Amino acid sequence: MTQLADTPRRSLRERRKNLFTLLTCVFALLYLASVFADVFVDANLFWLSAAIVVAMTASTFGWGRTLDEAQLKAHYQAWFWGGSVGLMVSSLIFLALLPTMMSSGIAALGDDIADVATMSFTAGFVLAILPATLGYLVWWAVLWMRNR
Amino acid sequence: MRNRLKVLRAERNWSQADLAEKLDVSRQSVNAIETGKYDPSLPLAFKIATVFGMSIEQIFSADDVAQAAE
Repeated sequence: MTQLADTPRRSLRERRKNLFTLLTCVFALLYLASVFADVFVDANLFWLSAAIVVAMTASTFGWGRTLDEAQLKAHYQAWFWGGSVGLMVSSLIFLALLPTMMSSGIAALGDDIADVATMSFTAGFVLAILPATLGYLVWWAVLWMRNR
Repeated sequence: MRNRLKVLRAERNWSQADLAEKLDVSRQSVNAIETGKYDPSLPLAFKIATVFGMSIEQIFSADDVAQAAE
């Protein structure tokens, strides 16, 4: 049931995690260069985005496997409570903006509907993910400070 | 749940980092267990008992059991 000599396996996980984190950073830098400096043509943007997502997922799994049970529980708690509070903030912002969005959405029907849809989707994604992530980070920072 | 980790660690002159290395967990996790902010899983409790060469009951006790004994 117990394994006391687990450290070499743990350091292998650390190395894998660091490799994928490095890859994520490289892909992200290429992506930013592509978006802001027009280094690549648009067709490459999708594949760069896909590479970022794959590298991020792999590094997240690698990172998750280096955590011990108390750290995992703290991250679960931070995601649950911090993320939930963040989602409540998102809901508040959404409800506050809804009347404006409805009227401007109707007004924008005459414009290019594809642009409106793209902007709406992006705004919705940011509204959903940003407060939840911030809530998670704040909650995690508080837990980390308490167990320093 | 109460535990005697801090006392047992001090008897052996181990730092939290020393114990963390023996258990293959982070120092913060040892601190969380010691201060009662986190109750370890059964496998980790067995691991702790093995490191100290004791039984789980000699290290951990439920709050109500500890209060009754006092």
